[in-house]
Amino acid sequence: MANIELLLLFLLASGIVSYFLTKWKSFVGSVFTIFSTMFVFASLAMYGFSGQLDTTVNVIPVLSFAQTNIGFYFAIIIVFVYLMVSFFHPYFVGEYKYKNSYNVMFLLSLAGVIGTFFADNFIQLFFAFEFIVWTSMLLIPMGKSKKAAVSYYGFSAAGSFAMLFGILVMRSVSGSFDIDLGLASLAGGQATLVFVMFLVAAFSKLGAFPFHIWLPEAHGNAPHPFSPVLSGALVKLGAFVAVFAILRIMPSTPLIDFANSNLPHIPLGQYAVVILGSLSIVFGTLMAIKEDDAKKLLAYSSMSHGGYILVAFGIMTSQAVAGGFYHILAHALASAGAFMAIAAVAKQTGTTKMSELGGMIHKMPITYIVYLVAIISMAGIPPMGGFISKWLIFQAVIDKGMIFVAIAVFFGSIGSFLYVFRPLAALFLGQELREYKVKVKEAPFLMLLPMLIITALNVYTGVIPSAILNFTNGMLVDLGLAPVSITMWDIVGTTGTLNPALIALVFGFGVVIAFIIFIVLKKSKKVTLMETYTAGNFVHDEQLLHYTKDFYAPLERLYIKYTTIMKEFYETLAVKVKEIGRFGKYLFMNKFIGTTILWIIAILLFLLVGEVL
Amino acid sequence: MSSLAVLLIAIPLIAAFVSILSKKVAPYLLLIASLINVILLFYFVPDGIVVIGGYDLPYGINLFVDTFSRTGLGVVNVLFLVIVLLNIVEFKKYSSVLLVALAGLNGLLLTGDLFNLFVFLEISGIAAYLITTSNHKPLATFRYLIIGAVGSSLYLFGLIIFYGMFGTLNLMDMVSFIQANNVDPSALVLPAMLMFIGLGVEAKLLPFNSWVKGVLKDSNTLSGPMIAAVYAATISFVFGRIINNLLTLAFVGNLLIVVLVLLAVGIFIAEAMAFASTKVREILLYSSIAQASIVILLFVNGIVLWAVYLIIANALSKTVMFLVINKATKDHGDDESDSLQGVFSKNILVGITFSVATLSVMGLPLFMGFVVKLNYLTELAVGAQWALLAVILISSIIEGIYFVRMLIKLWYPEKNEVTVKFDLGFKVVFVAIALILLALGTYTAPLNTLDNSIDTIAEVIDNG
Amino acid sequence: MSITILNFLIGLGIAFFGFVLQTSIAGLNRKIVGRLQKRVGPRWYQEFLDIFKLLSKRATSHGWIFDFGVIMALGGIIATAMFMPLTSTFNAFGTYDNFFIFVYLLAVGMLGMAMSASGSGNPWASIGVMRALTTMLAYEVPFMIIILTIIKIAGSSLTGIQLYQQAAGNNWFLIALPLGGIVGFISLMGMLGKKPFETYIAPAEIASGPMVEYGGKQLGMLFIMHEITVFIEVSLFVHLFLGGATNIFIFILKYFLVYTLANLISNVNGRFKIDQVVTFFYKWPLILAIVQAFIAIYLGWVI
Repeated sequence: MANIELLLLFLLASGIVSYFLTKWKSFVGSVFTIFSTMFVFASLAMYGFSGQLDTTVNVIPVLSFAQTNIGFYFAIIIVFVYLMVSFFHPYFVGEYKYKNSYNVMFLLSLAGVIGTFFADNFIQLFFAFEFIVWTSMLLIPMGKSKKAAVSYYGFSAAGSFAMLFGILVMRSVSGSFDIDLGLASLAGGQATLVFVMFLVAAFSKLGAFPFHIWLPEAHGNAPHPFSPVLSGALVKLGAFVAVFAILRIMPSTPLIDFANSNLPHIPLGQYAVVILGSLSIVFGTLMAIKEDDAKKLLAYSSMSHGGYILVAFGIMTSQAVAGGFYHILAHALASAGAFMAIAAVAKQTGTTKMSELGGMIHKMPITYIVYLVAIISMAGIPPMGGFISKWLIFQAVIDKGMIFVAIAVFFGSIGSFLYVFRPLAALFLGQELREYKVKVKEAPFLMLLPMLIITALNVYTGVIPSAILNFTNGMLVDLGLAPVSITMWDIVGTTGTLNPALIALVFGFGVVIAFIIFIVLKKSKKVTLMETYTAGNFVHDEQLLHYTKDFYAPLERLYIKYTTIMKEFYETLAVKVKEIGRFGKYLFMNKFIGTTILWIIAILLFLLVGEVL
Repeated sequence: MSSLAVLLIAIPLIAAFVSILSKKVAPYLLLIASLINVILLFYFVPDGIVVIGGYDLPYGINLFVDTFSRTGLGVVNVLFLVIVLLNIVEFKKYSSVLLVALAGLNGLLLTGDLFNLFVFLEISGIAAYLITTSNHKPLATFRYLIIGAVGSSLYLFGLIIFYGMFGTLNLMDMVSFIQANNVDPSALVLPAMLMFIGLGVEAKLLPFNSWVKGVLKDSNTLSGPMIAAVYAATISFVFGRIINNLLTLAFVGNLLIVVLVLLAVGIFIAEAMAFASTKVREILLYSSIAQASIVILLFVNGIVLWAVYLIIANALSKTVMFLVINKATKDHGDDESDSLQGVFSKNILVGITFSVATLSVMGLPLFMGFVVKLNYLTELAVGAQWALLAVILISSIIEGIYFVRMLIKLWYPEKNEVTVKFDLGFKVVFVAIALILLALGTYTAPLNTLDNSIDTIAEVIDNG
Repeated sequence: MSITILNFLIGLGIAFFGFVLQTSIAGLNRKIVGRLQKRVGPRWYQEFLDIFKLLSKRATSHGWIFDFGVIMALGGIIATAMFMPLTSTFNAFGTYDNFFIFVYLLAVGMLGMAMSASGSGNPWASIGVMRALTTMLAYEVPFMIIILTIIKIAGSSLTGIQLYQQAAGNNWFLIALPLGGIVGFISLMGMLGKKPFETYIAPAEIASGPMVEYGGKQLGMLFIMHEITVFIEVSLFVHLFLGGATNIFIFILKYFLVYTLANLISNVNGRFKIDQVVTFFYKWPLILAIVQAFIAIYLGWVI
């Protein structure tokens, strides 16, 4: 039996061990990190699915754990992403400034993850939550930008403090920090307050509008192997909080209702979540389309996918929530795969800017396939996992007849074709640039291995989703919703039936037919990429034949001037706080003793006048 | 044996007089006196009331030893000893002054007599002014002196009014008189407020604290931790005791609101000022202003225990932070956070301890600050002080942002190498404090053994 | 229902039928347009000749992704066509003809083609792909809003949608949702890449865009793919808005009319710039789609 407490202690201990091992030889320490993470994952996976994790506490008496379906689902996904990413460490960690603490913080934040999802009271949850924040925050500046960690911390802190406020309100109502008790005890205005506070936490963690500024900063500038963790795993903490807020608190706000009786029966609060989620989808998509840095592009795509999750939870029907849960898994896999592929490229080339890259496919074909499968899933195209979740969410949106939300989800879905194709075309395809023709080679086996596993899972989740949907059905039952009806092969929605395996099979069949047609015809003559139609011009440089900068320029021009509004808002906010500070210094901290005396007299006078009147 | 508490004041005072005679023995006297104090405190001084001069209470001078003052004494004396040990070589000529300071601080913490408190306030104040002369910024010291004098006179003024009203200077006596006669709180507004402002000047509450900037922004390894940690802790303890027993009787209704608003605004503005600063020492000093305001806020709300722990946590953290930064500034010559970039890249251990101290102040888990913060916030929530809670949380976001910004700058070098060398003594202290912060942040059982009744004055009054 | 190899063969038959049908009708249309422009026009089977000629020629290849993309494109499109019902009673996979399969499986084929085109290393191809994707972003959203309305009313199975329209008392959605019909047709024009939305092909401007580097069998396969894609898109319109078909002849008739109408409109139009395509679709078609959805869903007025 795997004991949660022991797993935590194990992670703390291996953190310390890895510090010294990494100090000695970064490769050894990193390999040790892989095995530690693997041990934790294996323990969880072995016992968790049957609900047999040992949650008793023997060593640290103040802790207490509980295994819930929802917690376990999140935990196993996130730990899996951690495990996959840890395979990258041997090749990356050595370069970082504080390489020994990199592995330590990685393992410690993993401990925080386990603490969060198996906590049975809010104090422990908050403890673990904050623990993840600072351990992961210390990892980020080892990447490109030092400012990124600041905005990551700022938004995370805003989120967790809002959650703490909510927890304390709940505590004042129920008198205890117990999760189930606390959530059940809320009613009336307090429920609304806690709902809002938890939502702030959820939104800021998910990087959903209007708290999305940190996403591109942190994901884009984090160390390459940590970006997949941030995007695939840690962002999902927000979804976890969103489950509490949206599906368990449910303040008794009025229903959004229309004359037509079968239309949106959604409480106002949840409806607001859906609308904000929709805005996240649209803004994330638009921002991703115009982004030049591949990692920032994927970060904005995380924002848009966070929006899908919020929309799904906000609609609150079984199908929607199941879609939301499935989307968490699908996006974790897709995003981890895509980020890891970009990391592998960055390892070879030292840049993630698409305008500086091209033709990577010729030297890194496997990485390319990994990325391709990941983005197919991300765009919600069959036969990958993203299609299943999006299909479920679409079903729910259509069933509720939410027109404006539908605009957002469809826009995001089609828009995702645009932005995921961008790195594909500019970074992997196109002309093979001269500077990369010699030194670039395919990623080493240890890096390819996790990427291939993720690729396989992307396909698996898209072809045979029934096992996972069975599990999420258990979670739905926990939340008091009816399970989605599934059979071995079919998912039955309100408006139709989907058979993902059949789609995959037919697709495979089609490809085989096409392949046969291709192969029986005359063999082609291989020519280089430079031998192309150039309308009669002599083009000597690959760069000149590589269309990559401002890829969607005509589209971008339509909205480019609105893209900085939110960023400017937060910058202005920071400036305002600074101004308050400067003004405070001017008022209270100047050289003249007289000012202090003046304040004292002023306050005394104020009081005395108040007293006299 | 119960009168041994007197020695905590007497020994440093006598040593101070002796030390004037010989400059050579002065440092040794300082060390011995502070060491003896620590030993006395932990092994010999019992709880109880010590009456001096043979007069019965309430007329005689008395010292009051209970868990509250003992905690304060423990923190102050130990930190004092540590800081003295680290600086004794460099600041030999301040030995006598430091002895006076120790006597004054212990007196402040021990005395149960409000006039005596004023005397000790002046003694420790004079010592403090002299300590800040080591900054070589005479103007700042001068301002400190003037404002400090204004503060203590306001305190005295308030006390005189109290004396005129109740005819006693003894804290317990006064409190029991007020309670027994059901004195109208509105009658206490003026003296209470005068006292609040007077002590507020010393406790660096906004807006009475313009001296802090001048004193701390050019501090050194002696004056920095001394003023920011030891003095701040002492004043907070004393202030806490007076608020908790005497001033709360006046803080009702509108006055309470005024005080709370004053403190809440102080917290926010102080954090904003720190946010607007770029010099590391300025950031630290504004942050300690905010923390001091939070402490007083907690005392006003009757959350004594966690206020005490917050004082301790801050004293520990600020000792490390000011020592590190002042040492770095001394070696490097500048405390602009941009020019100190990467100072920890060669001093990993010091960097880790500094980070631990910072994370603890920010209230992040695994460190003492988290436990304290979570508990006092919970207590505030129990008291339904939602607005204060919100102000503290919002201020914490600002605090976190500037601290993270600062930490990252200190860890990651930009262009020029900064070389700072920390002695072994410093490192030992840093590590020890970091371990304490870590230990109390993970193993909270010792913190939970006490409760809000550690301040026993009310009990003593009830029992006659 | 159980799926056997027979279903796959029927599906393949449908895809092949679609190819033959569309290629013939495209040939006829070339003739019609020729007459319109006072030319004789080619023979109706000219398209077949073109394709077979291309397939038989030896071509050049720009690397494996160039070939792989073509295979993926054709494979994806064949797979999509296999799900397409021809009439309300004849299809390959029963009720699995979920609408979303057509939109998203079609995207796999498109992705394959885009990939292959970008893999050729020609900037015209990349620009063409960019324009194609942008156009897609433009027409899909209004179209999907209308689809939402239809699915809300009749379910998402294409067969189900046909049967709903054929049931007594119900009208074709073109009539029941008149605004939706207009939007659907405009979107169909966008999907087919007909003028004025022909921006991503624009032979005179970006040298046929994605197609610029192809020749021989790759181009031939892409032609086949294109024909089947058109078959899918036009069939979708027929099934969604024109009540589908009860037998194959009605289907062919409706198909012919829709395609020819689109083609005729195309031939009297100029070409939009790409940003005009976007602003166009996000103005009137989107507004009409929203109004239609609101009327149909919230007010329940379906004729």
